[in-house]
Amino acid sequence: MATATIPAERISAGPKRSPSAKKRRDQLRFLPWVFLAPALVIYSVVVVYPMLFSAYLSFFRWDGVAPKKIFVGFQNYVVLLTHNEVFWIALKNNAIWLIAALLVPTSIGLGLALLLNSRFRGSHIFRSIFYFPAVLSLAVVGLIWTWIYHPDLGLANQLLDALGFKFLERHWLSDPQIAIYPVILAATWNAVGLPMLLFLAGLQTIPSELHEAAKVEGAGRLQRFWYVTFPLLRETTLIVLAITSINALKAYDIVYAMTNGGPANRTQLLSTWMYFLTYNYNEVGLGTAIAVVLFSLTLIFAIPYIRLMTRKV
Amino acid sequence: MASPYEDGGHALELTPALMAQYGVDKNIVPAALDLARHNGKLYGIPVWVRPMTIFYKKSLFDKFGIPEPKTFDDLEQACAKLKANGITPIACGGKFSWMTMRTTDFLIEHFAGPGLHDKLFAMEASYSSPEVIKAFTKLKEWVDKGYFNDGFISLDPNESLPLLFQDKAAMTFQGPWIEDQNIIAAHQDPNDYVPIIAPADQKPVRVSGFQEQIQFWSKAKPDEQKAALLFASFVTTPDVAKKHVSEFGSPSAVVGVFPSADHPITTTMVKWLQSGVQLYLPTDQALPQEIVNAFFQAQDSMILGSLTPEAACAQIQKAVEDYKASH
Repeated sequence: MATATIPAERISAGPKRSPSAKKRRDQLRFLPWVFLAPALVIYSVVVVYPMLFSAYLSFFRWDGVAPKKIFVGFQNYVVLLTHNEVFWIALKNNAIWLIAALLVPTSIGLGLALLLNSRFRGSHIFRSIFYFPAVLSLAVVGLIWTWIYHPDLGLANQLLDALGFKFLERHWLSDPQIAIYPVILAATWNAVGLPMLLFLAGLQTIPSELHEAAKVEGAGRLQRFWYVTFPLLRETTLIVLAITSINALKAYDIVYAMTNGGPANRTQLLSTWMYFLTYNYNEVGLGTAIAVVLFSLTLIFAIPYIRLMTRKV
Repeated sequence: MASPYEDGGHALELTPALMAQYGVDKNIVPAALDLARHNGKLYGIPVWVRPMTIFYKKSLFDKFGIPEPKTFDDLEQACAKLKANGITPIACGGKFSWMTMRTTDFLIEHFAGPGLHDKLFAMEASYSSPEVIKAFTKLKEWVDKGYFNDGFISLDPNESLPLLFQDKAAMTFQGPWIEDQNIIAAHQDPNDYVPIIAPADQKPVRVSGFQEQIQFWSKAKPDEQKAALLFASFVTTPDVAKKHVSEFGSPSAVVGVFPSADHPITTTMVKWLQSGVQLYLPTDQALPQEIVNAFFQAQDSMILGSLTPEAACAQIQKAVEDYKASH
């Protein structure tokens, strides 16, 4: 069997850099760009250009089809901030949605992940059951829950009635003071699955020896969770919170399906109000101005998330 | 709704010469052509006409001995009697605001009359007129009396229909499409759902309605435009429209075309149209969408009690004035 021998001087000094190798390396430096170019071109055309064009349109008054756009500078932004009552309702609803999304589905997801992480008979079935709502599209979730909240024929009121809590019956989606909360509850039902799955994956990377050691040291369940599990889930938690925040700001379809932004625009979110102004009411300038505001808000959560995900190990 | 395309020069204008050349003037019912005109000009060939009016459930009315409403007073008496018997008088799905708007429009037609109603659409009269305020006040009164189903303001129109099917409600403000899409599909007898000319007590007799039309791109090549016009002209020829009415849908905008005998609702509505009952556009098709937005917001806010009728009307009028100032 033939063996290759490496000269001693190459082991000590590393490979020799000949001029032709340098030239070749310079050529190769551009190779990744060649491979990336098709994706970059498509991304630029279908994502970057429409985004920049939307921002450009936010400086005009335009109905979407007229041949002339009237330049109005920052007037659309001024109108939004000073004259458009619904914009503030939508912003407030987005804030409520965001807080609820950060607290409720993440906590429930973590709780379920902790329960389902322990091996017991049928745990796989329970994982599937709890993850199932996340598989449904939000439009379908919206339809299901719209019927649950139906004032006369819906499950919610009939169940309250049957359980003797008739006084708790409400017109869930038509009471302007509370309508946003039933929608958030429906969205929560759908949103629990993803954090549960991510936390479950995170929990399974924690070595059991750490828990056993803590147990030997006399740590109780709560202490083991607080001092062992939770710190080791830090990275997963950050990812869950970032994804949840971005999804909360992107929420659109469930509101569209359940309330259409009503009653009297009380459940509008920035995304739905952007859509209504642009496509229903022909106010393209105002709609795209909301798009810019929403994009800026999303960046607050997206930038740390992207930095975390692209961090070199 | 097509007005931005027409104002933007995207839709081909059908001049009187073109109308005559393609038989539009003699094949299409005048009510449909009137509805299709924008600023006095025609930009398409109407294919369907959709009147929207009050339907009542005959078996429920018979059960409580209520006669078919012929006047506005009859209608109010019917509502009161139904409510007293535990039946919701009007099933409505107000989630998109336009189904509630049909009742608001009817009340404006009743209190303001066709003349003022048309002036409102032309933005030549004020929404703060006493007649419009009366219409909004009446709407609020009906809501407060429980004449609409519980929580109607957030229900999808299709979620309100089961109330009629289950004898929980007796009337609804709808169009002819419910005959196939809802009533027959739910295995209900269409003869039990009777459309009436919503009793506005006004002359000329009008109901709400809209038309759907085939439009032509003004910048298309001349031979493509001609081909499209020939096609639209062909499908609106009475013989062709009659032959294909069941596949093509109805009520047809074509003169003398009636639906099949198993469609009593659509047949009744076509008879109205062919006998000269006029149509007025619903607000969301008559006014620029920026004002429609304000109308829906004001109407729904008033129903929820956060605006008085006067304030709701003032809010709509402000939107009209803002629109006029900026255009």
